[in-house]
Amino acid sequence: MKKMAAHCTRLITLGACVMALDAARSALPAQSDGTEAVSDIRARTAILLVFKNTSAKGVPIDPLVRKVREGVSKKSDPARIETAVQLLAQRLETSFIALAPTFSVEELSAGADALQVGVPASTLRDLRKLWLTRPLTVPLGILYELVSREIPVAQATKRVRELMHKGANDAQLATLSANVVADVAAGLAPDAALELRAKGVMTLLSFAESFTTAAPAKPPIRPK
Amino acid sequence: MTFGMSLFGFIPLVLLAILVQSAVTQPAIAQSGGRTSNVSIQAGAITVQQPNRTALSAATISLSARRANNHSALRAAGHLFRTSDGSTAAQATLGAELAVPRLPSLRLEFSGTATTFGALSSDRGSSREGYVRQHYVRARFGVFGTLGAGTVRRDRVGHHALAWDAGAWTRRGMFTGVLSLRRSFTNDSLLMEASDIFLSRAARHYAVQDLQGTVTAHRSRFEWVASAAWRNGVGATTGHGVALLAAVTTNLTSRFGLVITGGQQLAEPLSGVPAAKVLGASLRMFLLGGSSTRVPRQAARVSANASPLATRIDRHATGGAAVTVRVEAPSSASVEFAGSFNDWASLPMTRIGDTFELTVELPRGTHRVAVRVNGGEWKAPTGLARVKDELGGESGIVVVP
Repeated sequence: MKKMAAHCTRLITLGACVMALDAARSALPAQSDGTEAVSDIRARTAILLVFKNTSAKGVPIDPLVRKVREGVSKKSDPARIETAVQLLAQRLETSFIALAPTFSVEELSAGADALQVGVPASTLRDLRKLWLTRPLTVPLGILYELVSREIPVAQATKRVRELMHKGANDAQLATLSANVVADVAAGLAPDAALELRAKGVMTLLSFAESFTTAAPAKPPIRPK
Repeated sequence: MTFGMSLFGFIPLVLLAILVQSAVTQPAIAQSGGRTSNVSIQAGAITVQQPNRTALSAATISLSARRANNHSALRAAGHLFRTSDGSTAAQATLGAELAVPRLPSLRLEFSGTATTFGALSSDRGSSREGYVRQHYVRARFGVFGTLGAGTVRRDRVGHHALAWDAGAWTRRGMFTGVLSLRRSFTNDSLLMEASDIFLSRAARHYAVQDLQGTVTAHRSRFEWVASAAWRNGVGATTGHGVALLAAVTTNLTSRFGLVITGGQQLAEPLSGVPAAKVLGASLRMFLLGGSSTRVPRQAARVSANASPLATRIDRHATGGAAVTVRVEAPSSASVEFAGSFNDWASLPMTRIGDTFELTVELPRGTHRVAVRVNGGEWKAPTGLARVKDELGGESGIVVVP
């Protein structure tokens, strides 16, 4: 009899805990997606629809939420925020397909950024094939940065691709970019600076090839 | 044999103490990421003036190697010295530095040095010294604490020394400043009394306290080092000393460099090096790699032309970067900084000197950042690649490996 009473007490306690947790969960506000700060209802609805459609395709919407917050913080016109979110969503979807099988928000964002400055989706696919198991966040970021500095897309792609092929690590890629920046600041034409620096880094890579420790990172595999 | 003669074998090592002192304070782990290796050979001449002794000259030759990656650094060096009267000395140093796993700001450093001098004469001697140093390193400053010990054998008599120090360093632009306080204990009466440090009453050892400040500046192909130290006796030890040292290194080409050193050095209890005035010059050649201060012609032009407002990105060896943004605006202005790294929450920038400045720590990845003055338009900070934000403004791009 005593055993049964103890068993019932435990069950009641467990039930009460589950109910309390559920009540607490309901009472918590949903995580903000930034749209509540968009003053125009029509624009807000349109943005939420973009979120929904993008999410339905399996594409992470964190970069879109960040874009809304950027627009709100910069006090941009709601219509502009809506347009910016739509454009970014299109690029994210293209990046998602081109960079498959990654699910990394950083990698997809970097791909979307590269697409924004005119890097074609085929280049993203090509780079993915080259580094199937290593994250492309930094190479794509460098490409984005170089093209933003008015280096022709084909030339920047060629040099970044060469470095990736030779096993350059993220720090070496970033060094290339930093050196190009310094040369451009000194008055060298951006494309000439890239040629000069890429050759320098590649010479170093040839030398270091035998003992480089470009450790393969965990493959950015999309969860099932 | 007077104690001056006994210490004579140590004289050439004065140069060595000067050459290494600026290199041991800051961590050697590659700050910019990636792997670096270099091997250099250095040959030169030096004149040494010990107190109350005739000036002597010495020839030196050294071979140094250093290899570093993001997690560790190794260095090894060998030195040979020969003075004008035929005395010789040889020294070998091995050092390592390791990043503490999961605690990227902590670095542990070890170093050991063994020396033999007067190898061909009857009064052969030797010394061994070593230290363990713990660093706490941030992007622009660091603190450290050291424990060192040494034994010196001279005229078949052994002497022992122990020292600890604590210090801090900071880097601002081309300057790096180091300040340290050190206390040393030794029973080497010859060494201490030769530099006018005495015991006022019976005691087991001499105890001295040194306050040392060093400033290093890198500019173009030059590196300057200036160091000053004040020594005072502690407890039963009386006497004081002052040292002023300066060195300039100029990289003549990508492989060759000229090092000129001069000044006054305090007696070093751990290694038994006596106090002396020194003036020396040496030529350095890199057999592999290059100087950390080497600046190619193109880059030298950069430093002349780059804007002082250019955004500075200090990449950490362990990932991430410290990004310093500067904006020129009237002192009464309100200047803000924001970026994708903090969901575009505005951060106020602080007035430092003639500009507004802010340093933020950014994790790995591609970031977009912007600044604005008095609530105006958001713009890309100076020196960064610019991209349209599709919201009517622009942002700057920062890629952190």
